Amino acid sequence: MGARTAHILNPRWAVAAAIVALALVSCQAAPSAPEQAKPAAGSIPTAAPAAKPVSLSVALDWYPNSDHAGLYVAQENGYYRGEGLEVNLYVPSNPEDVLKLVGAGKDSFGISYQSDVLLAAAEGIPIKSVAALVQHPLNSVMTLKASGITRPRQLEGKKVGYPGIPGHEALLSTMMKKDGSSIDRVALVNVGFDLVPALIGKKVDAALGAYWTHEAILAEQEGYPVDVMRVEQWGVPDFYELVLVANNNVIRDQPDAVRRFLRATAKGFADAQKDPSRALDILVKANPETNRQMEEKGIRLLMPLWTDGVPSFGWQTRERWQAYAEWMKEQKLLTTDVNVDSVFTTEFLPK
Amino acid sequence: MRGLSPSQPKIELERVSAEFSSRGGPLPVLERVDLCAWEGEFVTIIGPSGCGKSTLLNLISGLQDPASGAIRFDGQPATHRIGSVAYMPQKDLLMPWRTILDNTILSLEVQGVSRKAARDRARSLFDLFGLASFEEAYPATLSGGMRQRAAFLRTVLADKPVMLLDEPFGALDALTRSNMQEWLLHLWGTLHKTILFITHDVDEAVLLSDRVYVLTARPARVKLVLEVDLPRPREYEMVTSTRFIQLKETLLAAIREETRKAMESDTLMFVSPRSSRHP
Amino acid sequence: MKARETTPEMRPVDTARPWTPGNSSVASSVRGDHLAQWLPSAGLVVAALAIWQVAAAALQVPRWLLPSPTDIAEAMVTNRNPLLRHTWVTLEEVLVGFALAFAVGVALAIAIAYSRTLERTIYPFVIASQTVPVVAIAPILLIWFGYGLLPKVIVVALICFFPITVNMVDGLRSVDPELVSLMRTMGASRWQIFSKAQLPTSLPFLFSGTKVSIAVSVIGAVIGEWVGASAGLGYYMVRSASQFQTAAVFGAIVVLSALGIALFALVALLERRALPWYHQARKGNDSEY
Repeated sequence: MGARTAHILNPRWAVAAAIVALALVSCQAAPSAPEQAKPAAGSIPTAAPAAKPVSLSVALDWYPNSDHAGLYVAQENGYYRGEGLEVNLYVPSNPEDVLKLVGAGKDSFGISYQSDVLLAAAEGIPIKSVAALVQHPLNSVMTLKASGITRPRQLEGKKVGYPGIPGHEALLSTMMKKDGSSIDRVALVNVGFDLVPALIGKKVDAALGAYWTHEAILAEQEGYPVDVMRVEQWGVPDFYELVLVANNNVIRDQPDAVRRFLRATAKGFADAQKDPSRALDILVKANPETNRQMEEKGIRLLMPLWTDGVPSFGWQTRERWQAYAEWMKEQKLLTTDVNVDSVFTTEFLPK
Repeated sequence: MRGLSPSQPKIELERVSAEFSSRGGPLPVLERVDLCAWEGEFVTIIGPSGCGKSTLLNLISGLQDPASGAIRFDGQPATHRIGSVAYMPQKDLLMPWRTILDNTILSLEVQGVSRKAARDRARSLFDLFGLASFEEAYPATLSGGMRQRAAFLRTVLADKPVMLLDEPFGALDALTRSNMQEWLLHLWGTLHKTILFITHDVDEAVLLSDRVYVLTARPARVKLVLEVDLPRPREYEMVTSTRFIQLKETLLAAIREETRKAMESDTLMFVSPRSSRHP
Repeated sequence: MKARETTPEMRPVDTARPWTPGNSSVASSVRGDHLAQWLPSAGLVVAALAIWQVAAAALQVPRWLLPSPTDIAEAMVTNRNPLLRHTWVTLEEVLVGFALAFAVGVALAIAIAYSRTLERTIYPFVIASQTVPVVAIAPILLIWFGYGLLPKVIVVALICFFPITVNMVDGLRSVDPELVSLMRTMGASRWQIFSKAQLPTSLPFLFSGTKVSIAVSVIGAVIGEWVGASAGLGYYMVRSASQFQTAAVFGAIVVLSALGIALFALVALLERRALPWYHQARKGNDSEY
């Protein structure tokens, strides 16, 4: 009899488990953004403004676009340097990681969504919103003009495509209710982030999660005029589409740096508002894949939302945060009570 | 046991030449070979290694066609001869995934006989072939001798009038081989087949055959046809009889001469046959 | 020298071990092997989990960054109903996709092994199909085939058919050419040679390919879901991640791993049943000679 051979199943089980586990753990959520260079160190060393520049990194929420115009202009025009800051703007390979990256201290700042900030705070992630970059929602439900659908209740019995984000379902639910109908009468289809092809290709009758400053213009560029239903016009509280968040430790230990960063950023946005074409030049330099034609229109639609109805750039109010948090709780998006005062601050905004 | 000879040999090769395709071009292997086997005869073919014995079997079985010359079965030109003979190659080639029983019925299966009928036929012979109780065993668990017997049973079951056996006992050890020879001798009477048998073993050739063809080194021609006039049924004890030794010496002389020639012309070494001395 | 026997039967003496299925001591020792071999790897898993749990607590790793084993278990239990529901969805995609992969894979293998012309025509496409990153074409599949089960099934099939085809082609080609010659002398047709010799020869190879294939089938289903789905474990993972419920994400990974292992074990079990001769031979038999 030969030597006792190892049981056939076991080594292969270990290998199979390793293969599956390794592959799964190495990918997290939906991959969409391109790989970019890793950011510089997130924590801010204690340096006086006049001394060595302070290194900061900002994790963007998406590929550089009009939403980020002010940041890139500030960088290009030397405002960060003038404040003694060295800023690295980049897109993480998985944009959904922004708050985790900031919370873990890997990045000093990040751009994210008001809903995500509340969800993160509920899970104890140590971040705070220090400025609102877009004062109103950009999210909308988009339909082809040819379909004749201009209000939510006309979506009954139709297919609505969306990127699978739970928050969007709540938006539509509120909109349908406001128009006297119900989301149960709509067929929601997860189409990933390719909303425009799905709509144009008539795979869906409407696209939810389409930005009226972005996807709407893309569709029209393809030769398909669209109708847009803005969420805040159909019962959803007026929320901040994009906010700038900072790590709590950074706020505690380096308040001055935060202040300087916001001051320079505000200047950048002001410049962009005065000369949007030049802002786009700078954007295209930073991201050659920018759809210039679309952004020419997009940035002009977006600009008013940078400072619309607020005393200064980046302003946030407690009422807006509270109203939105309550709505999220109602929609079962938020399962715990969040103290909104711990979630945002205006103390670093330039007056 | 030779019955009444019909007018035509069972198998006849007339001036058959054959080639073997090698890297350097076609190599002549057989040169104008004349060979025949009558119905019910046991014919052995012996010769130096590499002289083309296997090619001969390939020609008869239909795997190969001669470059020139004629092959006839029962006096008729054998142009579509593939599938007409039962071939037992040197390796047992038992299918490891089939039981011994299912291996033995392979030829019958190919001929279209139902599995059940084939299995019944095979089962009845297992005892005779020394394989009783191994019907459901897999080849991997059998010894070399048993595997050869299983392969032999497969060949016999094919139920063809002619059997080609290519050194069936060559790879067995001496003990098993002499057992198998004895067994074959006893089986011979019941088989009623025409057998072409290839071997290196001169003792085996004389013991088993009615006639022995000695081939030359490559390209092979028939050097000698020896009539083995020992009485049948044969017994193993005959190996020490005077006549046996005479026949053997004739064969050995012919073979040694060819072996020398083969070595001189740079062909493969011929393995020396076993000594004829008493065990 | 053994004494000459003159018994009528003249049955040669052989010393091969008489074997009949089911009654040998080999079978029961295999069962004993089974259990004994489980322990080291089970022990390793338990040890790894214990270290992880202790490290998570000691290093104060935030739950949303890296949950501890107990966090994960808790999330799995809390969400057991949706988790179960999503598991069924993914399992369906895996099984249907794998069935498609198997059918296509085997068909391609037979075609490729059948003729050199077919091989030269088909094989480059087979290989090219594997160089296309599935993540890139999955959205395109969604546009073409809609958002239901089909695109996920196609993604799974695309990933899974390749190991089956490659292995089976090798298997079909590895048939002993002398066996093929022997069967030809019996008058066997090409079909008979294929079905009686090539096909059985290819089975161990086919199982090899199948095991690799089924281990990655689960990944294929998840990738298909990431790009567009309303249910399934991949979808569940994305959703949980978007709500910073990292423990739930890991819970889904645990289920996916278990699924992969279970499927693999199933194939291994089928292999042992289908190829008893193969495993016997590999255990080292007593062919005395």
